Amino acid sequence: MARRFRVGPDGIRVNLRDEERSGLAAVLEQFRQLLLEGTDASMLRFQPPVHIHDPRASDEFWEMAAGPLLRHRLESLDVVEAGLAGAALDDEAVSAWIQTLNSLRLYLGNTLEVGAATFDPPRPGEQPHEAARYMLYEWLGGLLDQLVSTAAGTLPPGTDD
Amino acid sequence: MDVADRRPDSPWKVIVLDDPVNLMSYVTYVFRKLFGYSQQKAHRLMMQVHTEGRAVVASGQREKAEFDVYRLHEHGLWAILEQD
Repeated sequence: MARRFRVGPDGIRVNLRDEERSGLAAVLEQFRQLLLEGTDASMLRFQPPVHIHDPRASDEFWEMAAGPLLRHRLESLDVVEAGLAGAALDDEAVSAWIQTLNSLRLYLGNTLEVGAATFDPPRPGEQPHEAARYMLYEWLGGLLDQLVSTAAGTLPPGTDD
Repeated sequence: MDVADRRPDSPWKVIVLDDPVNLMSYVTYVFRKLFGYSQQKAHRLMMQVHTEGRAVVASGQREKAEFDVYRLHEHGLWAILEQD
């Protein structure tokens, strides 16, 4: 995949092809509906137990966190949509892009069960719908990896503490 | 340890669990960004998650630890809390 992100003087520039831009816009809208409906079983991955041995404490955590996290994800979707036209991304927008691309990939990966020991990539001739979703999953992975690589170069060196 | 046995002032550990979907480069980036770790430390923690299934990425009082868990979930990482 050719470079889709480059560091410029005013932030990270997005350079998607027209068909990539329109495809991503459609996927973003579908994901927005999934977030708002909140009924798809694969969305449970976005709200797993955080206190493994204390279900009540987990429930209390998500009672507090679920609303703000949903709003954050919806706002991030809006930021990505706004950036599709090719505007430069500031730090906040880069964060929104990275989190959203990863959320889309997480959702697809879970629905396709790519983590299962028996997983075998679906073949277009046998499972065209699943194969198309898997291609999207792979494409999002490449896009996310590029953006992470570009954004990592802008982080401070950090510490070992 | 039973929940009732824990001392309320004991520190809490923020633990990230392995996930077969998240990219290794992405997990490393998130550790650098959220915790200010160097590339070397972030990569080491990511590899620990990948090979051992979990890694302690931060610790502290409950409120701070819960905030860290929230931020990790913002980024799609599966983080949990455990008390020492």
